[in-house]
Amino acid sequence: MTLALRRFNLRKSLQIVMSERGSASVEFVVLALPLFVPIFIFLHQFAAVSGEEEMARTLAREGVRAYVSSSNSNHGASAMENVIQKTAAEIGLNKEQLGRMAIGLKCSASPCHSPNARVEVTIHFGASGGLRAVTASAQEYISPWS
Amino acid sequence: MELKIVQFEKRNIFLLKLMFIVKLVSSKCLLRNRHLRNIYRDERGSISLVVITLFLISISMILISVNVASVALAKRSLTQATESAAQRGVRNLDKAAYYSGEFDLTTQVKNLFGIGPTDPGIPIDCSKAKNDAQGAIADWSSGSTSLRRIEITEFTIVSIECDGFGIQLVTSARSKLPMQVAFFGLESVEISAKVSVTNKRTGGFAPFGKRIS
Repeated sequence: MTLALRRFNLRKSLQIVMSERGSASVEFVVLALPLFVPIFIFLHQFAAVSGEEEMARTLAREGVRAYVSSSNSNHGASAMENVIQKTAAEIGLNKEQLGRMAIGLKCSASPCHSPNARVEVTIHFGASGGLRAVTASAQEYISPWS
Repeated sequence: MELKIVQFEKRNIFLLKLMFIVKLVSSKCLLRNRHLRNIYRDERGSISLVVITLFLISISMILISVNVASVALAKRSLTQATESAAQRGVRNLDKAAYYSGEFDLTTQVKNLFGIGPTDPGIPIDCSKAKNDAQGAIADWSSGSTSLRRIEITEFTIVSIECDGFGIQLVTSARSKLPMQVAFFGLESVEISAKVSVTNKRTGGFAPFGKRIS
């Protein structure tokens, strides 16, 4: 009895294996997933990193422009901070991105707000959630008439 | 008579043989054609063909779009650097030219009524402007790597022109493609930026350098 049942089960499973029903779905899953999933991951990473780098570059440019347009070093630093925060809000940076953001200021002269001094503002986004760290800088010169 | 009959039979046998061979070959061809037709009509594996074709099309599209995006970003970075250098250069006021000419009480009164002399523009010192622009570009190209896009290489200043009131800067560079196709030999693309900058006098009233309005 059990032998007959086993034979029946074996025949049934063989029939299932030999049947071509659903083969298209299997083919699609086996081929499409390994081929397309890495592409989507790559595209997502590329877009995210490029987008973050462009945001960092925009913030650095706006920040350095605010600094060199101001009248003195103290006012320049606060103007730069304000402009960067407002631009960050405008371009849609979220809290998590703002938390990862660091602002750097480098000057070629001391005090920083000297005529013709070179000012470099750097915006750095730390790595998080599989995204690599991004750094972008912008440079400007203080007016010779300041 | 007998000889003729034998010859006729021999010819018949030869014809029969020939017919047999022709039939055999044609049946084999038919079989082969049927086999090919069966393969052609069989729908097994058709999804693989569609998926592989779509994959190749997607890869080509991604390759093109990633390269185009990368070149566009590199071009933007180059334009911003050129713009910054030109802005630095144009700040060099030519004091001698700026303060030449007469400005007296009559001119001031005429200015107040809006009938004064037209603004000739703000003259700049061309040699200083060129030097400063070159210095700014040199700082940018030799400074930290975060200042420019990683794709930008072989940066050159094509020309710096100054007409006494404004400066025009033309720069060029090569942008390396992030995804290169084998056998095409296309590794980088030439990009250029052209920026012209001039000064504009701020409106309002500022006697002796003290801004009132």
